[in-house]
Amino acid sequence: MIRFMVIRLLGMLTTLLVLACALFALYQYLPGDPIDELAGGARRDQESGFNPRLYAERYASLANRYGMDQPYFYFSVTPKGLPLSFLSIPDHRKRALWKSWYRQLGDADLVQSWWERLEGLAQSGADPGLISAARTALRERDLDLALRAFESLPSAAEIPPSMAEQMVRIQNALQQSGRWLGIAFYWHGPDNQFHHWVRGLWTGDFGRSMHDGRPVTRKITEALRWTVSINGLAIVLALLIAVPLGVFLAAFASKRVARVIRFLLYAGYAMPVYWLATLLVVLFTSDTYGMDWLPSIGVQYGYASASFADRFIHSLGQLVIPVFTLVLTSLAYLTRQMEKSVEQQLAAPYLVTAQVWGMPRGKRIWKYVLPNALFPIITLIGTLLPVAIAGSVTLEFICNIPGMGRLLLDSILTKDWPVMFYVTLLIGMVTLLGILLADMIYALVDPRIRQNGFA
Amino acid sequence: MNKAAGYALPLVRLTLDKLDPMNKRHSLLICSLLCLFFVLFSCGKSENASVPESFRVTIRVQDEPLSLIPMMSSTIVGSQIIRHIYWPAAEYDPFDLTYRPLLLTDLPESVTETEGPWKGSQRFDLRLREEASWSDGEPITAADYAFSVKAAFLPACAVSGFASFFSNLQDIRINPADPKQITVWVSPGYMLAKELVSNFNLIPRHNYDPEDVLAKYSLAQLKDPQSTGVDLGQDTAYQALDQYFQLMDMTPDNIVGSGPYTLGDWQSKQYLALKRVDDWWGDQLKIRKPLFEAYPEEIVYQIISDEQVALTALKDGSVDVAMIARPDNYIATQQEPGATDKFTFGHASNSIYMYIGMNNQHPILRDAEVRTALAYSMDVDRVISTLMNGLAQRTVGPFMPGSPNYNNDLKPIPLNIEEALKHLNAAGWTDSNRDGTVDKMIDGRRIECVLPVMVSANSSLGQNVALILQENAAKIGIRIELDPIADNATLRQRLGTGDFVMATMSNSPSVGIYDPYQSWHSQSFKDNTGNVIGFVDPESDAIIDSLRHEEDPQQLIDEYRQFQAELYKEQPVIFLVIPEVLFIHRKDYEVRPSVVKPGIWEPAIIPQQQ
Repeated sequence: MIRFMVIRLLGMLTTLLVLACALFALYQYLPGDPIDELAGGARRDQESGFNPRLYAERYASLANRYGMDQPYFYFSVTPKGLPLSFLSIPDHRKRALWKSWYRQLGDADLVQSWWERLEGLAQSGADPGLISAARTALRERDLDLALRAFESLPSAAEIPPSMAEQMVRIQNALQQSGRWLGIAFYWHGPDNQFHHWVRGLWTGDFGRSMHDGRPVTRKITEALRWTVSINGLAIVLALLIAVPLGVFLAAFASKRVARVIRFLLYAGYAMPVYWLATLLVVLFTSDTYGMDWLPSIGVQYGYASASFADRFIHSLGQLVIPVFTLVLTSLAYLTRQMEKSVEQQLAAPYLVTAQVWGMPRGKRIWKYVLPNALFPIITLIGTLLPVAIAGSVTLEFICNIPGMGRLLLDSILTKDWPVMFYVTLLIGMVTLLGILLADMIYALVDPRIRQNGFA
Repeated sequence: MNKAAGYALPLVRLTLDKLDPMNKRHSLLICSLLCLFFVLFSCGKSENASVPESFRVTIRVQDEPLSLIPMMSSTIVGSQIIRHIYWPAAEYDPFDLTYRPLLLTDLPESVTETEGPWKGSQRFDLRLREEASWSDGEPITAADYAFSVKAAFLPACAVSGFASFFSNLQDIRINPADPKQITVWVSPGYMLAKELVSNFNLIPRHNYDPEDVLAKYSLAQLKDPQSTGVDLGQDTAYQALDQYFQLMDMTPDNIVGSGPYTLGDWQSKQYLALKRVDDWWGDQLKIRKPLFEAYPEEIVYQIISDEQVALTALKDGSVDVAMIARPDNYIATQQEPGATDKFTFGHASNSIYMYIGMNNQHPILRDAEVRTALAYSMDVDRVISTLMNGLAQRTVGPFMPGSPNYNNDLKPIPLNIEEALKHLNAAGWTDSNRDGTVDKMIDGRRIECVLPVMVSANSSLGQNVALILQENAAKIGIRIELDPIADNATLRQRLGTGDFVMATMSNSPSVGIYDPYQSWHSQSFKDNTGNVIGFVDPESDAIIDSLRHEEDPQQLIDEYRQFQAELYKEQPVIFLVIPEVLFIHRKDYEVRPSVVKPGIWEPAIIPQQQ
């Protein structure tokens, strides 16, 4: 058993590491720049003013604070001759742009001087057409397209001779592009962004949210307790209902009763979560339809300082609609699984033998059929565990519950990288743990699995 | 007994009563679950079970503020809440827009400096009220004023943009003999000087910078450390202060303000409650002006992101006032049976104008004829009738229709396809290859008139506006393509850097004097400090330069009108509408519409019977 667990744990860690790497790699391709937002870049079009010089200073300072000015990974494989300084430019858009330009030109000095010339032109007070073309070129990774920005200038605009000369140099260099520059390998050691994030996972210090500056751990903990409560309760209740119901349908119910129950279960399954939850909220939380039976949605003010019992009751009240919705929509699937499993067991030869020996029907079913029929449910528990952590965005929105689903969605929309990274990893980790747990329970309850080399 | 307790208690009892004693395992499981639930929700404070009985108003807001420190806040909801905690030296009255002194004894008046390093600048001598004090009882002094300005230059405060706001503020001098006296110098001719020196929220120095770290730096050093030879990166105390701001927890202990309210409780993503300050200094003044009136003992901001959910909360009584963004929701609720018996449907004028921004430096849109053609092919009346349910008014410029500055001589451009075609043809655009899209030779290349409109994927209004333009522009041969952007951060970034061709946009000019320089002057575009649409027009520039130095109020109004006429001629953007601010509240509450965002003034809300 220990060997089995060690092997699975090692596999789990490897998967987690691959997941972290994949997440980190994907993040680099996300549009938008959280540091730009923090440095006040979003205020460019606002009436209260924007100062490009102050912005650049703040950007560098904030990028340093969040470690965004470090290289991405432990090592870099770059075209030969690319200066190391290119890899630690704080502004990641500029960093990507310079690397791309270098790949096309193979001349670091030309890249730098082209950038400086464009930047100077973009704020020089020159002809607006030239300024606009320079700003477009400063966003363009493809140098061909960057040069093309200067083709449609207004008639009054004239490209300065020194710049025209540089453009010719770039055009010449581009004609030779495609030539092999060679490869350079840089080792950065632990001073890299990936190490920083993974270390946070290891030490439990997830850092601060880039959106509101609150500790990520606190944000996750707060969201988690809602999601675990809702989904945890829903899963347990659904199982408590589905298991006996499945046995009843397979072993005891008459055909007519079974048909009615199945119809009701499928009706519940067919209802979209958003529709059902909205209906319940509208029907039962206000007196619009005369059925004001449930407490208001969302967490109300006044309970943080209330007594333990009041707070408990208030919180419990908030869970009725989401838990009921989840139970109703998942009941059909779980019950059907259980029913099928019991039916299979009922047809098994060992049960015929037990019947021949005169064992009572109740004893046959509850003592022998049920434990064997529970195997598919064990697998389901393993897959349901991550669901309990990940939350349900729709339900959380409708019931105004600040759970994990909303936290993850908000972090994506606000480019809150630390929250996004750790929440996704946490979900990944719980998924793996769920699978491990299911395997372990299988190994514990089924001697055949133990005998097949896991014990 | 509260509503939740009333319903949930029988539920628990029922569950336990129904348990079969035979099913011990199930009972144990349920008990374990309840214990787990107890543990999860009992980690907070456990004090007395008293929900205050005093007058409390609960207002729905869509999101929570990022911070409660004014210099670190950049959202509308942040400003909405912060303004009741931290007061500025002077503020616009929320109902009649009169500029009134709050922390100051009198409104600031400028004189031209005649000597010293700031000769020629505007000088303001300000005096803080003797009674003015922070919520912890400490007096508000000139040191707090200077600290508030300087704190804006900390990197942690960059998000608010306050540092740029203070760029025309040249120097601050504190009188050591009189802690309530401040002298401030502002760049010569800066038209918003009065607001600049008095319309920002003050924060307490003694609370946030007890070591007086910022006092050793002059304003000039903080504004431009490089030129003044200061290396702030090496100052560990400065870095520690910056770090402190960055990591500050928004707990009641950390929030010390000068306004009538302070932070009571904040449960992230759930609610934020303000409570009235005990012995607030403003009460001593007996000033019966709206800004000095604060009726509710508690103002609770219930955070509900979805509008339908907010309406349900309003109906079940957990919210007293709900701001409504979508006119169709507002109208639908109004039409529900019995709704008008329970709720009042209020609306207020807005200071936000919506428009379709056009990149004036784009090869196609550089021509005013093309921009005018697009303006004639935009059915703004349909936007008002179908998308806004009639709850908006047309505008021809960045001013409020009905305000003295608005130019009533300019008639809104109607939908007129023939007129649009005329302008397009005059610009040389024809469908020469008969593919349904007009084209033109530009720099030796045939260009098809295809214009992408950037819209927020989260805004159905923006998308529908673009679709209306698309439908009508197709009739004159302009192909409009929607370019939806999923996240607002990217949208703002692209707008801010001019990385768009057309975009649905909105703007909100200051409620007081309007300085069009940043949004419309060509120098703002050249300096990359604003005017993201790249509008360049020497006539407009000349009017803006002139009106910024105008001292005669009537002449200023005339120049504002001239400016609008010039915008009308050039059509740098398609001005659409000013949507009304909509809100629904309990019938037994009196909520007066306010002319400042978000359209209501929370401290003035009173029960109907009072």
